[in-house]
Parts: sequence; structure tokens; C-alpha cells
Amino acid sequence: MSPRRGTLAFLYALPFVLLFAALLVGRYGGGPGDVLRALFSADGDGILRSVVLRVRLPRAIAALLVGANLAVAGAVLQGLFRNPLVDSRIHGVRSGAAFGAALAILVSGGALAVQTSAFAFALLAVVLVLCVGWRLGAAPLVLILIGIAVSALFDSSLGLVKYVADPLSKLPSITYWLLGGLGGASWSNLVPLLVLSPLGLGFLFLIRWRLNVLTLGDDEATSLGVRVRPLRAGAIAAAALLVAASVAQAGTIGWIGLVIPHVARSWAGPDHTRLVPASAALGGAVLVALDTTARTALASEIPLGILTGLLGVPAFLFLLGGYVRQKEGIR
Amino acid sequence: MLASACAVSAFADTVEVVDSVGRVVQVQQPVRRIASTYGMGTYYVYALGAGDRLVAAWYVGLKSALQAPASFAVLEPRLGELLCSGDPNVEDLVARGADLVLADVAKTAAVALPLEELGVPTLVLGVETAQGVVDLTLLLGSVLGEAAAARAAALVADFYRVYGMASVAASETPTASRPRVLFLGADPLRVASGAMYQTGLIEAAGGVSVSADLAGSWNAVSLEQILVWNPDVIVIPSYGDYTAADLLSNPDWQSVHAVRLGRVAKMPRIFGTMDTPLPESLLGVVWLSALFYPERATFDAPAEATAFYSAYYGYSLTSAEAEGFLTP
Amino acid sequence: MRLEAVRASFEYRRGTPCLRRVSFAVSAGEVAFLLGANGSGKTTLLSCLAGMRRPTEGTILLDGRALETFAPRERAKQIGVVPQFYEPAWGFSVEETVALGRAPYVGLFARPGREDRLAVERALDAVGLARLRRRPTPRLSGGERQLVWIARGIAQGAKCLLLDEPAAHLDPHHEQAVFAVVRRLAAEGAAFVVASHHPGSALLYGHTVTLLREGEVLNAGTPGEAMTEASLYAVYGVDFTIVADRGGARAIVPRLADVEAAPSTSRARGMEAG
Repeated sequence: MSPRRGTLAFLYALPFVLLFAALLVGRYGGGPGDVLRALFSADGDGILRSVVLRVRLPRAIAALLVGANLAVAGAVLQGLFRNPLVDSRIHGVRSGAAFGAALAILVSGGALAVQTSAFAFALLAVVLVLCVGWRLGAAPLVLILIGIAVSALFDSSLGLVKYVADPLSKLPSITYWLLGGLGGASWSNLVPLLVLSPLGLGFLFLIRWRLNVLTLGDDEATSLGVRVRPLRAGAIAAAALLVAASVAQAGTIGWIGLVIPHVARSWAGPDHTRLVPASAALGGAVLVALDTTARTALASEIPLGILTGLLGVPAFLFLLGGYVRQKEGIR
Repeated sequence: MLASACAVSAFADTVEVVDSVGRVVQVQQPVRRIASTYGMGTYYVYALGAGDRLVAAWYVGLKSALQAPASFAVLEPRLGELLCSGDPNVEDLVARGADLVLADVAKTAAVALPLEELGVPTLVLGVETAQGVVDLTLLLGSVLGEAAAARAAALVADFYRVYGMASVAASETPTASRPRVLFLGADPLRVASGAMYQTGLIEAAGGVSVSADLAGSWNAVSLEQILVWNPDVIVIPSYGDYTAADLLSNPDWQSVHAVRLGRVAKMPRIFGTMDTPLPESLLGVVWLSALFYPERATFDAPAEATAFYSAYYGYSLTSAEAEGFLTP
Repeated sequence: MRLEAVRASFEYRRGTPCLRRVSFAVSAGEVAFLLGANGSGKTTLLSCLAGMRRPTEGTILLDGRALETFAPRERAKQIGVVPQFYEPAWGFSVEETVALGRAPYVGLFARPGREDRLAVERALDAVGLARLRRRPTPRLSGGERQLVWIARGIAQGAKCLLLDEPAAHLDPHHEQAVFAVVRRLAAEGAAFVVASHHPGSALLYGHTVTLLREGEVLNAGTPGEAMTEASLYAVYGVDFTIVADRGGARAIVPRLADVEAAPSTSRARGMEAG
């Protein structure tokens, strides 16, 4: 089960390699040589330089961060709940963010208002789940059930918003936003993601060994001197922060939080000291690759949520097959 | 979809017409109470001077009276009681005493059957092209009485006049030098495809749509693709939540030719939207032609708009509204 | 070290006491067995001794000081819990699992360091599992897994380990292996409290035996003293034969007879299963 050094080194380098490659590729045309010339020499194509620095770069960075955030949040939540089927959906984060964004679009808020509202409602959803859950003992099952209830609350509210939205402008905007995509990423709206991602990722990275202890279950972890409730709440809050910031930027994107941790676990093992960085690297790499495809393959953008689904579903089934075979092998 | 009118005589008891799906319908004259479940058809009813005969109306792009632009309050004081949305309720339509119902072939065609059983004439209508606009105008004119028929004829004549003038103005420029136009959607990164009405308007006004080879309806694109197209003119629809100034001041858009030239404009809206198949769309051609060929001065857009709304809606544009039709 | 319960009572719900003024003690070098039927309060007593539950009356003392005054980390450095058999959710290796026992020594934002790794090595050697260090725990036998939990308790630095029915799922070979380690560690100074269903094991491996019935101590003492046919019948409602030889009791075997419902088992509802 112990991963080889080489595999991990490759994995950690992958997102940065893909990030660089993403800068060289795009609809505007010109090969890598043109891009390098545009960036570094005085007589390069000015518009190409602008495209690379103002369009491709912020977008690729956004993809990297969103992929890493969603993957790490998924990995942490799966460990906390000792359940390989968990992802951020259970906490109502995505439903809250979707509702917040739709509401902002409905009242004609600008892009900044949409992002802020999505983020605020995502956090509200998590706060609701944690507060109610804390009163009831914050046991994993209780948190999941409350999360389902909160998700349902925001989902129906979203339905109401869609019902009253003007079908010419507001409703298409809402639908478009919900499909997920990084088309609107630019330096001006990237700041929240750039600030919040290191905070959330950093915290989870620092406590990653302690998360191992939490996988033992509450009683055992307590007997080892760990304060379980605050640690779990803190980890959930950090994961929620990452997901909220990501959804506010990129809309609702599925499968990354669910599938990437499983793949990372099969390479790096269940020990969070390796799993957390491996999930971040793999999630970032995959999303950069998918987003580059989304914006380059056709003249019109392929919604990111569709690409992650196309990749995620077969990957999930493949992993499921391996998991079942492995289980039977042990017996 | 073509529809043809077979009026027997303006004073006949019934008029027989064929609607957009080929149904032959007998419409008792005179028609006094109109229920229009066809969001676009409603505007035609107003344009033909029959707005005061509406008893229930669906308006495209308007789900509640709160969303209506200020001009609606003047044009239709009864908006609150007339405005309906969602699926039509057959019993409610009958309760309002409708003696003619317009249905939308794409959304509300299902009411035709029960209404037929109850003896209420229903026209199932749809329009997607400029020719369709003309046909629908004449069809409705033929069933709504003599005055409406006269209005319809005048409107169609205006239509041909505008399209003709725009075509003449455009023909002076070879296709290769015509302005390359990008029609945006509700969001700056959504663009119209080739099959949409907007592309037809652009071409009628003498432009070339850069996104004509996209399929479907609204397409999402990246800013990079817009830079590849590098249009000379950018058109923002009236229902976009952003303004021309937003794009002109956005640093990421500076490399786009249209932005550098300052040729970004947002369509004005008084009543209906000018980029959908409504009678107003002839003003769409006027406005676009003025936008594409400012030096030709083929049309005086504010004057055309003022004349149009006065003749067909009985509405006088304020000077601010008329100025909204000026193009950069 | 000395861990004791002083007239401890506990009730999960008002009116249904689970422990009634139980006094119990274990010292360094001792293997103390807790015997009792299901629902007799064994597991509850273990929970109180581990500091996981606070007695509603009475107190738990660790080296003379009330257990609740210890911070969780401090307490964890002294007392360890070895759980019953369960299926681990993730396939951590033996080494990684034992390393979790270092939690009381590792800071919130830190990982195990050199000292921690040495402690893990020592713990693995103490139970004889060093050669299996990289094997994922799901692929161990039941007995090996039990030893891993014990090693984790040692890595914790715990002077007293509480074992809840350690042999419940083990075959005789593995049971012997586990208890051999327990006895050896006790000889080196560790204290063990073992909750069990098997009077035979208590006889073979225990230094002291405490019998619990309906939350009260029925009898306590050396295995020979505490376990008589009468006291065992009172606890289990089953007749046992104590096979003795001149050196003291050697084996305790249940006698196949009419088994009537023991008074303690009929009151098991409403109490946590012991």
C-alpha cells in the first residue's frame, strides 16, 4: 500500500505542468512558440500576450484551485464520515451556493454580487447544519441527515426563484450558472478564491495527521485525548469554505469531490498525510485539463459540469468494480 | 411557419383562416374579447389597435407586472388584471368570456382541443422568420375587423419599406467589407447562433454575424473565442443585465476591435423587444442599419421609432426614449 | 500507578441505574478481570475508568487524583482503551495504526516526529509485530489485529490498558497469544483491566477477578477466591464445575443442566449491554 516516491513526485508536479501547458493552448491560435515569443520578446503578438495573461492564466489558476479545493474537501469529508460516498453535497453547501447565486441573478446583481451571494448562502447552509448538529451531538449520521434537510430547503427555494425569473434574461442566466464553468474567470473576480483557498487548504494540510485519528470513530479518538467535536467542526468548516469559494467562482461542478479522493487514495494510501496533498494535486490537474478542453475543443464552451460527469461516471464505476473485487479478495 | 388568411369580406359573419399548424378555423365576427396565450402574439394584437379588446394576455419576457418597464404603465393601464403567466387555465379563459384565443404552438397548443369542444375559436400560432412576421400580421388583421386589417396592411407595407431601404444601403458594400457583428445574449459570454432571428436581422441590416456557424440557440463562449472572431460591432440585447459602458470599460475586452472603435450598443426597448419576431423588429432593422452604416444616414432612427409607436401603439415617445434610439 | 473506582454509580436515564456504588481498583503489574453477564455494567464501568463517562455518584481516581481533573491529553498518556474487534474503515498499515496512539504527544498542526517513531518501534517490538509493520490492518487475522490495538495503547505510553472482551472473536490459539503478551507486559509494570465473559480466561490469566451483577459488585478477589460455583451461578444463572487440584483451581467449565433465565439478564433492557 505504500506509494513509491516516484509516483508521488510525478503527481505533485502534474498540476503545474498542466497549468503551463494550458497557457500554450487556446482558440486564439498560434503555437507554443508564438505564445513564448508573445510573453518574453518585444515583437510578440500583443493581443496574444493579452489573451495569455488576461484570459488563459487566471482561468487556469482558477481551475487549479477549484479542482484542488473540491478534491481536498471531498477527501476530508469522506474520512470524517468514514464513508466513501460522501461529498460536499451532503452539507447543503452546493445547494446554498446555487440558491444564493440564483437570488443575486434574479435581483440583477453584478458578477461580484453573484459570487458574494453564492458564497454567503453556502456558508449559511453549513452554519445551519453545524449549529443544529452541535446541539444534537454532532454525530456523523445526524450531520448527514441535517445536511440533507438543509439541501432540500435550498433546492426548493431555488425552484421558487426559477419559477419567478424572467425567462428571457434571468432564467437562462441562472441555468447557465448552474451548469458550471470558468468562462467568466478574470483577475478582477478571482481574489476571493485566491485568498480563501490557501486558508482552507492550509488548515486542512496542517491538521491532516490528526484527521487520521478521527477516522477511528468518536470514542476511540476521545480516548486518545483528541477533542473530537471541535476538530470535526473545524474540518467541516474548512472544507465548506473551500467548496463555497469554488462554487461561487465556478458554479456547481460534480464528481470531482467524490471520485478524485478515491483515485488519490488508491495511489497514495488512506493516510491523510499523503492523501490530502495527493487529492489536491490530482484534483487540480484534472480540472485544469478538463477546463482547457472545455474552452478549446469547440467554438462554443462545453459546460464544465458535463465534462466532469462524462469523466466521473465511468471512473466511479471502474473504481467501484475494483473496490468490490478487492473486498472479495480479502475474504 | 406560414399562415394564410382567407378573408371572405370585411363584413362577413365568419372569417375562415388557416393557422400555423394548418388547422382551418372559423372565427365569428366581430371579435370583442381576445385571450392571447401566445406571448409574442399579444404584441401583434396591440400593434393592430385591438389591445383594448384583450381580456387575458401572456407577454413574452414578462412574468409579473413588477417586471414591466415604465412605458407599459402608459400603454396598458390594465396590465395588472390582464397579465397571466405559466400554463393557461381553460376554464379561466372561458370564464373571461373570450371569443378568440391565440395559442403558442411551442407552449400552449394543448388548449386548442378543449376550447374547440366548447366552441371557442382558437388559433395555434408560431413565427420564426421575417416572412412569418408578415404572414402573422396579415392573418390577425383579417380576423380582427376592418380597422385592424387596414393597420395590418400599413404595417406590412412599412416592413417592406424598411427592409428594402436597408437592403439598398447594404448592397453598396461588397459582402467581404460588411461590418462583422457579434450579437450577445443575457450574459456577455453568450452569443446568438446562426439559426436565430437575431442573425436574420443582422443580415437584413447589411451586417455579417460572426457566430453564424454556431448551432442551437444561445451558445456559451470564452472571451478568447470572441477575440478570435474580433467583431467590428457588438450588439447587446435589451434584456441583457449589462450596458455598453460595462464592456467598453472592461480591461479584458480592450483588444476586441469593436471595443477599441467604441462600436458597442445596447438595443432600446419601449414595449416589445426589437430582436424577437414582433412588429417592433422592423425598428430592429432600422436601428441596426443605423449602427452598421452611420455614415449612410439611411434612417433617422429616433424619427422612425416615434412614427412607429405613434401609428401602431398610439404612444408618443418621450424625447429621452427617442434619443435612446441614437446609435454611436 | 493505581486506577480505582470509589463507590461509583452511573445511570443512563433517571431511574435506571447501571452501576451502583461500585468500588474497584487495579495497580501496576496487575491483570484485573471484570466478569458479568450482559447488562451487568462491565462496559459502563470500563467507560468510567477510561474517563469517557463521568459517574453520577462517586468518583474515579488515577494515582489518587480525580480523573475528571486531568486534561484529555494527560489522561490519554496514562490510560488507553483497546476496543473490541471491528472492521476498519480504511486500510491503514500496522505502523500507521500504531502511530495513531501518539496523538496525545503530537501537536494540533504537527505530524509524528522522531521520538514518536521510536515509540512506535518499541511498541511493535513489545507485541512482536515488527515484521508486519507495512501490512494493511484489514489483512490481519483477528488475533494480530488485537495485538495492533494493544501496541497502539503501548505507543500511547499508557500505564493502564482497558480491554473490552478482547477474546470475543478469537480462536484459542490467538487468545493465548494475546494474553501471553498481556501477561508479559504486566510483568514489566503495565496494568490491565479486562472485561470478559469467560471465567476460564480469568482463571488462567487474571491476577484479580471482580464479579458484577446488576451493576453491583458481587464478589472480588483472586480468581480462586472470587469464583465459586455459587458466585458464578449468581452471576450467570448457569452451573459451573470448578476442576481443582492440589495447587488451586485449574479449570472452570459450565455444566450442561436446565438453564433458567438469570435474574440479571431479564433486567438487561434499558441498560447498555455489558
